[in-house]
Amino acid sequence: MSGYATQIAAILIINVVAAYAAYMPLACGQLNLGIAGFMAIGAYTSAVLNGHGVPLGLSILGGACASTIAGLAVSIPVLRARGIYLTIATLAFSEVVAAVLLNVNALGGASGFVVNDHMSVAPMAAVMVLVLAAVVWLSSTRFGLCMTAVRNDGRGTAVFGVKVRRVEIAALTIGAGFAGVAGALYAHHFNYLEAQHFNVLLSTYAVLYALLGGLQTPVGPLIGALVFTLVPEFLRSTDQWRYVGFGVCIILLMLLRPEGLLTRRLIHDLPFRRRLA
Amino acid sequence: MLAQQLVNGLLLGGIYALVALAFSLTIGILNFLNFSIPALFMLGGIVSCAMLSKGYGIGLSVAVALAVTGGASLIIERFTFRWLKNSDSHIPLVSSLGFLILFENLVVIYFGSDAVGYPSPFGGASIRVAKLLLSLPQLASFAISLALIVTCYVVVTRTKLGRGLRSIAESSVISEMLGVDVGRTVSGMYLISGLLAGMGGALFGISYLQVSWDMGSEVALKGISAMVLGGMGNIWGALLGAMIIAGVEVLTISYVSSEAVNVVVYGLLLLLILVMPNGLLGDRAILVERM
Amino acid sequence: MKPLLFLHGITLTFGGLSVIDNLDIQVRKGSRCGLIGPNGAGKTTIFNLLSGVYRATAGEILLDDEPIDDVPLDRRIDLGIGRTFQNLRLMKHLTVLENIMLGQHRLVGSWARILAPLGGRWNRAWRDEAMEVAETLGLRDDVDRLAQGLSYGVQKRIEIARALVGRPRLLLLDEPAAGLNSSEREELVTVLASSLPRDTTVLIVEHDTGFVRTLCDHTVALNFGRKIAEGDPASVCGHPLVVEAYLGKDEPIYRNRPQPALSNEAAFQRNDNAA
Ligand SMILES: Nc1ncnc2c1ncn2[C@@H]1O[C@H](COP(=O)(O)OP(=O)(O)O)[C@@H](O)[C@H]1O
Ligand SMILES: [Mg+2]
Repeated sequence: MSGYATQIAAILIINVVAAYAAYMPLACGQLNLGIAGFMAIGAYTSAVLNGHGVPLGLSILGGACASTIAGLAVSIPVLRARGIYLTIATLAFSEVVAAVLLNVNALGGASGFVVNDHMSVAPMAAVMVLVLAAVVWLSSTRFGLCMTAVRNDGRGTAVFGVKVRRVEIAALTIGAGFAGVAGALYAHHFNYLEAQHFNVLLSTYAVLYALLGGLQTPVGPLIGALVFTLVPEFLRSTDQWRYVGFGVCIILLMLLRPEGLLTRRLIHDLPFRRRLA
Repeated sequence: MLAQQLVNGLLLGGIYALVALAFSLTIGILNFLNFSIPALFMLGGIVSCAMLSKGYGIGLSVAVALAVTGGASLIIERFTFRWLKNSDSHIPLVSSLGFLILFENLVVIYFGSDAVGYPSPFGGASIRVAKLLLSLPQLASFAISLALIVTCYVVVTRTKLGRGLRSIAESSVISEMLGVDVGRTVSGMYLISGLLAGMGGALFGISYLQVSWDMGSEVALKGISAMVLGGMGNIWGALLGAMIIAGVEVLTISYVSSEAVNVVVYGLLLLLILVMPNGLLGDRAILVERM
Repeated sequence: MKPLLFLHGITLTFGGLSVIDNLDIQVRKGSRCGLIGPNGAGKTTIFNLLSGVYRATAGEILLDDEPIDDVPLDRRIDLGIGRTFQNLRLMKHLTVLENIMLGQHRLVGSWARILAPLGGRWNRAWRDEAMEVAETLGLRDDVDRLAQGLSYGVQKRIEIARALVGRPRLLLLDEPAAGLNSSEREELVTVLASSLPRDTTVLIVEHDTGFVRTLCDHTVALNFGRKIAEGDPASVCGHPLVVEAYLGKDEPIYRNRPQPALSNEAAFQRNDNAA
């Protein structure tokens, strides 16, 4: 693969995993705008572990664990309030993480942090497939059923004995873990971390990929991230016109397909649709 | 020194308050975090700056900027409010993000990505009172902000539009049944929040003599913090929260370091939302929270 | 026979307006009890009290002699209280079968089962049971469709199926026949008469007196949150106070009644966040 193609593939993989980090809480109706913060935690944890001689695979796992714990710690108190409060709290959390990283000199501060081991695209793709498989599997279970039910009608779901808060906490925590994986992949592919990279815009894009792809099926975020990472590359326009096009696409898509590109009805209408029973 | 910093914080707080109020209105009434507000703020600054550079007067420049932001806000309303009645509340939020990305990058294309000096006719005029150095444009901006917030309060509490807004906050379905023209009332609210954000942007240019395509994002985050601190949907809360956030920001810069600002401001916001999600003044002034 | 359900002196007020007023109701185990009364009488409110959406201002609710007032909304079903909603509350992004299977949640229990694929071996028994209930309610052909967009009558039956698969001890049906045409209605009566398990106690809110007479063995009539008649369905439906309540009569009590602003369902929706 040429350098350019490798670059695009790596970015695509990271975007897909980040999209799933956003998808998990969204699938039960909660918007996490702190994906970047969880990514940063995963990235820096993995990089530091790796720097201390921990093998690459274990470092990434360590990064995922750290962001999972952070996700749990944030979601338990915040999900008491939910809705818009959760969105703002995760946003604030992410900004705090980035700001703290910027101020810690041991982690490079504003000048950046060099990461030891390099990870090539093939193992990254394998990790992405693992994440994808985990989400597909979760969605096919009763847990997935509960997530969708909670998104559709939280209080109505509680009537059936579903512990709504637990479902939401679990989803946000798992999503945070995925974000940590995405961050760790980023760290080890580009081998260089800057705290400024993990900003609101990064979270926003992760959320957009998930929503534009559609929340109704576990494949939606994959489609969203694929389309909105690759199409601008093919257009090869300048950066700014590309973003303008992206903005217009978002607005039009919400107008024409507010439920996202891929919906259950669409799959249902396909000739080779899968059946549940 | 401390007094000087506090005054600077207070004056900066006026601008944060306008943005906080713009956010607070849409959250209080439609329970919708409108991400196009930073774009409108930025447009307010950029458009008035462009007009001034072409040699037009400050009055006309600001008026045109407000017309642009108000109009843009009404267009955004077409693309966001329509879906708010549906259960999936993420749709308007996503559309508003689309507008943010669109406007910011259009501005980069036409005005470049560097910060531009704001050719204010008042420059950096200042007066000295006791030991304090007061920037006149900042003082004037602060006064205008206060006046706008009071006006907004009067509109929400005393006028027919305000009554409509408060009843929509309670329930848009029931308001409709009771004969409130929901579409027009909501348009009115978008217009108000667009004008508040646009005015905030123009006043920012006049006060700090610099505008750029990304000036909205930072201020918007501070505005959201201020809104939460004061209490979502609470008009005076937006003002109080903005004063405190700006004060904390200015004090942190002068006594700790400018790098520590975000740690302190967002740490405060995070702590607040965890322990006191209703803010200092409570979040029920415009309405009870909804899903 | 001792009552399964005992509402004792229940009162519920919303900001000064009393919606349920010192109400006593006893429901025998295994009984099919009709609950009738004009709109706004407080029937749905009683269901909301039983399923934990509201908490009584005064009084006590006993289920099998156990007070249940302190049991939160998401644990009421563990007591065996299942319900349907007058205004349908199906999950629009789930298929009919998935909606029904949601009703089994309380029985499924362990995390291991919750994390097993719905289409797999572990869930076969659950799936078969859901299919069986779907079939008895005539939903066989619709199980793979998305719940959203199906006809009103079908959606009503999905609600009933979803409540039934939870194997409730006490089943609350809120106007199961409302909005159906007369043939659909007759069909539903037959289906319910045959498919409701014998040992399940059922409380049915219905306006259709024919429906109540066929299905119920006992009936309570309410008006303005008070009990106005009780006894066997035929005599309650013909009771002068009941006829009067439905047909309306210009009595002072009717004129001075403040008109409530919000419906139950709207309030339920509004509380979403408070939970
Ligand atoms: N949350 C609430 N706030 C105020 N009034 C309520 C609320 N819930 C129910 N009510 C009122 O209680 C009365 C009984 O309602 P309901 O139980 O739905 O009647 P129905 O017998 O038709 O089912 C109605 O007048 C309704 O408006
Ligand atoms: Mg009712």
